[in-house]
Amino acid sequence: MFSKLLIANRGEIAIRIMRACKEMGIRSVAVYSEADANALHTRFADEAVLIGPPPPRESYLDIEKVIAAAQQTGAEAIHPGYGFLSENAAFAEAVEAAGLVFVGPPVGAIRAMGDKAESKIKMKAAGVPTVPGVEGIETAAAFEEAARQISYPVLVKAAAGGGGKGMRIVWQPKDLPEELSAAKREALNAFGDDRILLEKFVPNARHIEFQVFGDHFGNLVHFFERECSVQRRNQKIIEESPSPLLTPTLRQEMGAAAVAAAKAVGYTNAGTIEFIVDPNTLNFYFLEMNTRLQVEHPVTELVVGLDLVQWQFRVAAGERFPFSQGQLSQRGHAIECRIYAEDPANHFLPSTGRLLAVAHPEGPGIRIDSSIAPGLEVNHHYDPLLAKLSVHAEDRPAAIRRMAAALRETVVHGVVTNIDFLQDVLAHADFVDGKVTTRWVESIFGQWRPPGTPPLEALLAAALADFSLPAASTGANRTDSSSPDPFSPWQGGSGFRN
Amino acid sequence: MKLTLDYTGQSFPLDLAPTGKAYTLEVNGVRHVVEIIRAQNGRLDIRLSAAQSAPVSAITAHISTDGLKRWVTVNGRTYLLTKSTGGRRTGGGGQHGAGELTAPMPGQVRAVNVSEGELVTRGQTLLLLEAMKMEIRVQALTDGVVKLLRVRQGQTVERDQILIVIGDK
Repeated sequence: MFSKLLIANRGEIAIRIMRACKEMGIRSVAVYSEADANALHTRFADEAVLIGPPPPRESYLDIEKVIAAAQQTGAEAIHPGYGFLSENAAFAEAVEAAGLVFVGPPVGAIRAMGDKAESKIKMKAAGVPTVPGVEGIETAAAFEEAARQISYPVLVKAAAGGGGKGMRIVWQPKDLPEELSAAKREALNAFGDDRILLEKFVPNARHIEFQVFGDHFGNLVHFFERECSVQRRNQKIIEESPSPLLTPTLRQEMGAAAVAAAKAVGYTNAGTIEFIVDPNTLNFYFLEMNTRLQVEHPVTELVVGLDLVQWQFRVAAGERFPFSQGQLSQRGHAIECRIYAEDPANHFLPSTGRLLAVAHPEGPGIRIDSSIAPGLEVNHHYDPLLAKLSVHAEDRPAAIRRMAAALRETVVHGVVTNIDFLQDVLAHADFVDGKVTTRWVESIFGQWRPPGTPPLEALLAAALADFSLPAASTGANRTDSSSPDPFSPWQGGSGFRN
Repeated sequence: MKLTLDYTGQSFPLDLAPTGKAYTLEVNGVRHVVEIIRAQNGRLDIRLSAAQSAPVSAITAHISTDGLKRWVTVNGRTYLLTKSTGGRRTGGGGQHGAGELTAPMPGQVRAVNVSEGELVTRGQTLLLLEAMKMEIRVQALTDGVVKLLRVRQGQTVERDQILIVIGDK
């Protein structure tokens, strides 16, 4: 096993990976940007290396700096987490060229699956059902022609993509040029690659994915599904396992397809095969493979009872994965809610600010993966994910009840979050009935607003706060109330008045 | 002591008076007797005395103060209240002139597509904002002319900050 490992990431996932390091006696090395000097992941690691200014391209996405940090600290392996460089084949290649171990799949598999166009061709050949679409085109005219042939609505998608970034639904021809260039810019920023592909958009689809896992001795299995249909802006907000839609037969079919898909690219380590499922026909289509650890991996860990990150380390270090498919099963029900710094009443747009208070829930079957603490700044450079709240219970109704109670105990002050919104989603009859599709949030909760009037209790508490809570404990009076906005254009320095 | 709390555009005038161990608080003409049981680390346990309509109730609130802002969580829901000391209105959105376009989110100005004096048409993309890897287009709501351009490319902006002012041709 490795004695020292570098985590090329930030936030909750960096901390989660470091926890696995600590449990296995591996020393952990963090990398951090200037904006993250006080971040929890920087403080949680055994060592931390500053790798540059806040913009990701100058720090977390800088391959040379990350590898130099590993060499400088004597780390033997690098775990990329999710996002950033995790699905960048050039990075995995550079890690190996530097004589280090990349904790993840082989470079060839990242490359094959990372290219959404190439992967679709490979999947078709492996007999895995795929969504109708067009790959490998470049000119605006070619896109217009392709979109017409597929028929609107179409999905414009970053070929190097993942996580909903660089992905846009286009409903009519006149919107195509602008959405295309926006997707290209987003893709270039997020992945350093602006190739775009076009797919038929399947409305009312369910997003169901399978966790796969393979060692270097030919054992490749799946850890069952995660239902991730609760999404906004093509990004997941609630995930669960098992999926309320799947029958044992469909689960078996999709699991077999997932394993076939992974085998077709010689996959090892942890990965996820994403499918969309038409709930009416129960037809499923390969969407893409995420060749990395997934944000929502805790849901799988809870129902399958395995620590994915620790197994990633073991397999990367050359151990066998000892369980066969028949030895794996789902036990109980797990749900994860992503707590985001975003305002559901403002089109789910990000919110930023300094965290004033953070309280996490506790109790049986509750898991928190968090990177937030009072005093930390949530800035606009990085992903708005603040924390993941996961619960495990005997069955789905019990898990929903447990999650609702846990959310009520969760407190985040200083930035607007989606915590109240998540409670309303969990309480909705469609969610309780397990009938949510990927467009559901938009159609049911697109106009979501918090209550128009605060309850009496909130007014009472706010009025009494000044009398009873010392300013220091609540962070009061830091800001001069006569000029509450340090970014006000009238504060000077912005230059536009000159 | 009189104070007013604003919440999503509405104002709630309150009158708070200490009465020995407890406080009397008047909200919307109704008086409530409130006792503070415990107050520490931003957590406030209070007891609301019995009224004709309701029994004694205990409330736990989490409160954070930031300037005039009061973040309050009760019964699992969080409210952002703003304290105002008089009838004076305190900043915020919704008061901008018709042609003023404000930032829908905090972030960075990635591109400025127009300059002052330029004619624009409804729906035209004027600016691009980026935050947390997401791009937002700021579009003209009406036909008009760019009266004022208040941001530059690369500039960081706050939510509700005025970006550009569009006037009549």
